[in-house]
Amino acid sequence: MHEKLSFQYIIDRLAQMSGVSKKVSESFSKAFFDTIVEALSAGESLKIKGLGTFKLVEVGDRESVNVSTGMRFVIPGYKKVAFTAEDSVIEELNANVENVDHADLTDKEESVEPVSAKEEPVREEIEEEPDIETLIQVPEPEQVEQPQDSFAGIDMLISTPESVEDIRQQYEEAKTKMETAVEEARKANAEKIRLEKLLERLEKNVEPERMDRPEERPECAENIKIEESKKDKEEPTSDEEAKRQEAFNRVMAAPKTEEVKPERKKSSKRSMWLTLLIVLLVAILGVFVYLIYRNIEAVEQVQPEQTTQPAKPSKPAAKPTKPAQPTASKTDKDSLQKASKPDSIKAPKPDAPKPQTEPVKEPKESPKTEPAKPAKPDAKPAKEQKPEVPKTHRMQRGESLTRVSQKYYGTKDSVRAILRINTFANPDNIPVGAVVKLP
Amino acid sequence: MTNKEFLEKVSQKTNLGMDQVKDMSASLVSAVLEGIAQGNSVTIQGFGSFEPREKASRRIYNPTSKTYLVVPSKTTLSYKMSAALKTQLNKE
Repeated sequence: MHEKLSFQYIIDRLAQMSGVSKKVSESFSKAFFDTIVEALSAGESLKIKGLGTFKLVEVGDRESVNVSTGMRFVIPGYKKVAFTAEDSVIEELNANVENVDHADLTDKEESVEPVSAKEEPVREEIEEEPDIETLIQVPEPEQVEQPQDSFAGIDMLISTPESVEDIRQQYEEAKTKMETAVEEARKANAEKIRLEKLLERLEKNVEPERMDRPEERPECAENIKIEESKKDKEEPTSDEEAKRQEAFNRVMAAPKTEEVKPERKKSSKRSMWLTLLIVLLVAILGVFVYLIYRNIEAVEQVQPEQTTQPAKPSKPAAKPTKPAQPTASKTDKDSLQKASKPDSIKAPKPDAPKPQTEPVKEPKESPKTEPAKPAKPDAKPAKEQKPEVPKTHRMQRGESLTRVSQKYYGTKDSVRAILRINTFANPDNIPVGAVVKLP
Repeated sequence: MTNKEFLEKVSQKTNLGMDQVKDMSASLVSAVLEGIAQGNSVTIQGFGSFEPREKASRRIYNPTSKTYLVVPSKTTLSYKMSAALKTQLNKE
């Protein structure tokens, strides 16, 4: 093995094989190779049966640089013999080699194959989750149930139900949960507002009974107006801006006109407080409007929910004062508006606390309606993407969890879901080749 | 130059019949290949050396199907001309 066989060996072997004297075999071998050389010298290429082709190849002049001096110089061209073995020869060689080194070869191949078998996973676009979560978090800290709902969305992504029915069911459950949560939050809000009013009344030392009526009704009207404007937003995109502006103006204008009255009775601190609140309100409303804008595409799916909701928000406003009003607000908005007018005339004093309570309600209610919306569009894309995501992922050089998340779910936010089902010593530095479970 | 022309020339030189030249050249080639198949290199003075070369297995990437394939390792026969032959070829 790996010996250098001399020309003499070949001569001897040839003599053996063809049964000729060594002299004859030597002279033949010499003649054989001499003719090859001659032919090549004559510039001919030649083919020898059972061995291969010898070809004369001319290598052209080329320029090079002397590394030590930096001088350019020309390497002169020359002729060389290129040899191409016949296919049969190579086949024969490999047949022999395989018999000899079979074990080595198979080992090598096996070690390589798993990598080769691996296919590039298909990239998926998955609905952005961040939207829901931000939306849910924006509304109110009071709502404890909402975070659970947000997880429900992720869980739906994680679990892999086979049929569309399952997903639909899950979606329905999530939806009902969300709605109940919104309802509860609304009630809590109403409670809060009522208590605030009571506090104010106590401060003023005025009878609560009288003031309640005039206060509440205009608020209801306001709420309805805003809800209407919301509705309109969903349908024509072009008019949205204008209507939002109107809603803003109403909110802004209402407190301003009424501010004059409180100034007479109360200190300037009150008005300061008021303006601060209003500014806060506007900011929150701005955020809300922005979020709506982002979800405009999802609006069509949202609309059915929206239509049911506008009536509700008026409830909390009406509750504290009159039990009869909630029903009225649901059925007829116009009648409410009319009813509110005469009341406001009766008692001008109570208008003072109004502006404060009003603004608080509106922003809170409006964002509350939002969380229900994004749940819908999210549940649907989940159906398509579930089957394609593999169960595990082997980390490669330069990969981070965010990249893995981006790869399989199209969003960086699934990192949290990945972290939940995996345990890493350091999630920021995962060793190459580590297997990560995928939700 | 074809194999036949080549053999004719050899027979002229050796004063052997064509049939015998055919047989002998075939066995000469097989003698060389036999040595190479055992993993040895064969050096012929004034002509060059034949050597079996092992090519390692490698992965290739198919950009259209985005898959990797393994090309198994194999042995090829390489030839390197001798210095004498090189000078003779580049005399002019």
